[in-house]
Amino acid sequence: MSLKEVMTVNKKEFINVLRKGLSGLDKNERKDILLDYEIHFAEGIKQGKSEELICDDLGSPKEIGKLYKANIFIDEAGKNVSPNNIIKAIMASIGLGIANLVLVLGPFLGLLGVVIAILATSIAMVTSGVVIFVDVFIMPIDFIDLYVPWYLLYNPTISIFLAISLVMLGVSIFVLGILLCRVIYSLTVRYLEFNLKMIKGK
Amino acid sequence: MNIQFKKGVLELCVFAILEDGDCYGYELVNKISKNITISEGTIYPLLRRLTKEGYFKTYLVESSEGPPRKYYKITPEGLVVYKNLKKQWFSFVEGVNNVIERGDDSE
Repeated sequence: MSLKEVMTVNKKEFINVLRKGLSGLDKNERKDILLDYEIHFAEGIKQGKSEELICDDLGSPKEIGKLYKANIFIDEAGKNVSPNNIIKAIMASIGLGIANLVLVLGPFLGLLGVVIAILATSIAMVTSGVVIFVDVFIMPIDFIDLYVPWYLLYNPTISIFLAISLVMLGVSIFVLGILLCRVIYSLTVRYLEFNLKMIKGK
Repeated sequence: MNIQFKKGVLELCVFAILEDGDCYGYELVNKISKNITISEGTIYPLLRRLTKEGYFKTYLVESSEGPPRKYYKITPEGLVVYKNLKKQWFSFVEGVNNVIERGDDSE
């Protein structure tokens, strides 16, 4: 236990700090967790231990609360893929001190940037392909200032080839971006799980 | 001192104790903290996670005096995981021992 942690001295205080630490969790789950500790206290007292000694052996309720949160949020992020869940899991890990802020958030945001760039590129490519197709074959697009090289306007073969290639390439890159997104997501969850496996001795 | 134990080791201890027979929370915590210095409060989150993963089952037993006891029982899935963890642990220890003994020889 690190020295900066304020230790509790009785059951009421311990349970209160833990309850606060578990905020944001499902109500029933919270009750269930607290019950485990209530029973632990009762059992210890029955065996002649003082509340203070039991608190001392249990460790910091604040850290315990963070451990539950990290456990539950990482589990949730692995089961239900959503941006919100992964962010909660990351924040819980950082709060627990098992994941370094720079080590997790830095690469995560960097990779996120790469994925967004890839997706933006693919969308731009598909759009360009469609615009070229429409401009050359259906009707000239006048309402926006569009630059389509003159040789495309007079060479339908090249333009259709270019339009189709752009769309196909764009779609492939988009799919690649999505796959990359999934890989990054599951890697992040696994990294957080790995971190959770490290615990500190007293 | 801030020793970092790998949680896998704590997991292994919990599995080993429950393989011997069902235990209630307090009893289990005591069996571990008797041998390993650890914040006892961190064992409950572990028990909860492993129960959620289906490696343990729990049942309540009313005790004549005092609170009801929540017993943990290892499941067949849990036994498979335990055997695997134990194998990994022994090969790890053997590896470390080999390194240490060789290191002693050369000195």
